[in-house]
Amino acid sequence: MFKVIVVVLIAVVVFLLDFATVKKSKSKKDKKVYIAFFILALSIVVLHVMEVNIPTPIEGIKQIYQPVAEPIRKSLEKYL
Amino acid sequence: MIEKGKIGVRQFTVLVLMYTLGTAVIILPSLTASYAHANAWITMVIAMLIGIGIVFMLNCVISIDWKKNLFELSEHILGKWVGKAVSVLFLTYILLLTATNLRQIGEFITTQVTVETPIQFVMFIFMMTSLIGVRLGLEVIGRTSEIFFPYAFTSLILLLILVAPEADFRNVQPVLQEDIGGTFLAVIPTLTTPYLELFIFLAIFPYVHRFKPAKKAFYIGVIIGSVILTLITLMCLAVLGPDFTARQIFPSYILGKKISLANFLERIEILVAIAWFFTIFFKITLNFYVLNLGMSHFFNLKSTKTLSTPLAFIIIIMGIILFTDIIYYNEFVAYYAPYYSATIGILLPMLLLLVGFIRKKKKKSKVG
Amino acid sequence: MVNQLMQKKIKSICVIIILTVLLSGCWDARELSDIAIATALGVDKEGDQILVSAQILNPGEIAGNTISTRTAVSTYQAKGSTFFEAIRKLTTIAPRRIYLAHLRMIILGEEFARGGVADVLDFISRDHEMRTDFNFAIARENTAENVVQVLTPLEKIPANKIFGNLQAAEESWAGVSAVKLDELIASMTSKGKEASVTGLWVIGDPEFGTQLENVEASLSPTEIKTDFIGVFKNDRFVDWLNEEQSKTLNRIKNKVKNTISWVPCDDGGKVAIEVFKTHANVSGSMKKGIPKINVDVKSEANVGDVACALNLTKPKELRKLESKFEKSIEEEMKTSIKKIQEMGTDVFGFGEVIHRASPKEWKKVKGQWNEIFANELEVKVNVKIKIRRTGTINQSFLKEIEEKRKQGE
Repeated sequence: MFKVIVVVLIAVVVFLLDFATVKKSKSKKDKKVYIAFFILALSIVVLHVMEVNIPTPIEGIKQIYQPVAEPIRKSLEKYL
Repeated sequence: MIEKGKIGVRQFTVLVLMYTLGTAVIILPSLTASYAHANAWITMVIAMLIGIGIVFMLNCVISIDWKKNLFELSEHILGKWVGKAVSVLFLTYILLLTATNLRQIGEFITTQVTVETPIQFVMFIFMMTSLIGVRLGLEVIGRTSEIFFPYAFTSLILLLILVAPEADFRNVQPVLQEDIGGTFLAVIPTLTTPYLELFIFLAIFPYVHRFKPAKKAFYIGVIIGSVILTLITLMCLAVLGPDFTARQIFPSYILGKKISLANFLERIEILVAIAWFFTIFFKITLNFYVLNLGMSHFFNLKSTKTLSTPLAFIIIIMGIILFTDIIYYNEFVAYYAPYYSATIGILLPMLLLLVGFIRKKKKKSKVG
Repeated sequence: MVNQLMQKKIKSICVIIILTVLLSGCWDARELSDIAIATALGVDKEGDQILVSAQILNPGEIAGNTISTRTAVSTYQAKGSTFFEAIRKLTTIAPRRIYLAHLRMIILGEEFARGGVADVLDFISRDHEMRTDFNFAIARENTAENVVQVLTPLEKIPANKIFGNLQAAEESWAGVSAVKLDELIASMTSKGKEASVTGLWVIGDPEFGTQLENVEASLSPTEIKTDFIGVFKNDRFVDWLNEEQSKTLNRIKNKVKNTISWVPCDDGGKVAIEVFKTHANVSGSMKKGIPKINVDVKSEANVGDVACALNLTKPKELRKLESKFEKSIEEEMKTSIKKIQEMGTDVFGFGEVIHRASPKEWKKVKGQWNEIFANELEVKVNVKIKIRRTGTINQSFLKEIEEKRKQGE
């Protein structure tokens, strides 16, 4: 829990420093998207710090390409 | 246009060259030697030839309208919605690629140099430097690459010259007598880094001062980079032997350890490694820049800098969670990454080229 | 306005905090006072455990100005079920963490080497601190711990003495070979080649050698000598080569830089030459399943030592001398190769030569190469020697002395 608090505190500082540049652009859309991404980033960092297992997208890619990859993998492994 | 900066043709050449060397220089010698053994350098040569073909294809794509970058181009050719969808595919790939590259340099430093430093910190420091680069814009990235390039290039050439006395070319004989199948099959994973990643330069092209020389510069950068990669692989084989090269995770670093000039100039491998930090840094920075550029196009933002900070943190965490361990990573790079990269790096640009070509013809026939 | 000032302040504070973090330096930093620099490691077997003896540098004795009665190196020992465990266990005795990047020698006990060394080599090539520029040696008829403990005169660090000794002997004697990690692993894993490692002898009483008195005497009673080469089959040590065989091996592997050989003169006495340039060309072929190896040795030499009445003014005499040496070296090499073939381990790497020459035929024999090497392989040796110079004098004055003696009689 202590770690999470530290991360959130750092995030607040980063936000204060960073948001100024976004403000300068004077675009509402920029601000909205920025905040959305900031929350996304923060939640990922917090999840990581809390040692929650986040599934890796690599598994998905492996599943998709399995039919192509497997036969070539087999023939490549012959030469190991 | 979101990016207002311009880079020179020479800066573009340097960026392409550094990008080609990038992470390839630390992972390819071992990867190719695992399957092609003594013929690994031939694999590299074949990959280079195919790579030049890929560059030709990419040059054709950007010739459709070189004032538009990759994301604008896909919306222009495929229409707004399909274009956006394709952009998402590109962006996901670039996000994963940046995270993977960051992980690679992290793995390298924590395996060979500073073993007790947590990988998170190494990655954090690298990403922050890239973040500063992206915040300063493409012009600054281009100029910095020009400053650091001589250092990186000289130390790589010096590495090749200084280990030459240790080379024993009997190690690469007999040439193309055994493992011929492996030699040709190994081209598939070899193409991934760097050739199938070169498409990101389609997003940089519009910001180069002059278009025609930039097309040539693309070839020059890729060819010089590939030749250096091939030579380093050849030296790894000749100095360390094919088996030893395949067994090492970072054989080109071990190659640096072999430098010993008159018992005086030795233990300088870290200087060689620093040269790679530069090339990898520019690779990460370029990827990250293109990611930001694409994101701001996708959301119609005013500035490329808007999303840079949150994205940097997302990439660091991605880099950590993508691969549980180094064996998982190696397996992915060798067996699965090539097809994903081929989809994004060849198929999608081909699609753009094809549809663009058909549209042009239709337009012409209408005018006619 | 106030807001902007605030932001500037926050920014500068953040920068200061980040800079202080950097001030502490490298995460992995270790000062010289925290590490114990190992210069040599000895590996032995004790039961089913591995005994590691580490020769640790005593920095104060090497670089300090005051001369004390302490030794320049200290030895620490630890046992473990694996090599890695033993090395880490050293910290239970040594006051500091062992630092391996400056290692010069790894010495394998003969008993240990007979049991196979592959496990140890794996750790050595896996650990990031280990470089590849140290040499291997086998403690001949001895344990590695005894060799590691011997103190040496002239060179304060025994490991450095052995390392320098090996280089010097390899360059000007040719009976030893300095083998480094990558070469050792490459020859152990290659199907057409076996490994060979130099031997280390302890001359005199090894117990006495551990004491400072040993280096206080002008002629140290206990010394370490590097000589002869031990051959391996796979990762197991098999046998020792004698002097001629060691020289032959180095000749064929092109490791000879400078060496001496001698032949008897026609009228008694001996003449020796200094061979300063040697190049061996090994070619091979495999026809109808019969492997053949051709060894062509080309050497250049100087007359080094004439201990008989030899007329060195005539070119004809010199040619005669050349052919004499050629024959003698050829004979020596042939018998040595025969003997090594009988041992049944291909330390020359003839298998690799066949492999390069006819890869297709090689595929059929690579499984049982060592037997073919021992029984079927034909080796032809051809030596060419060119004597260039006769040193700083031409005729030996021995001839005059001889004549004077004859007159006296």
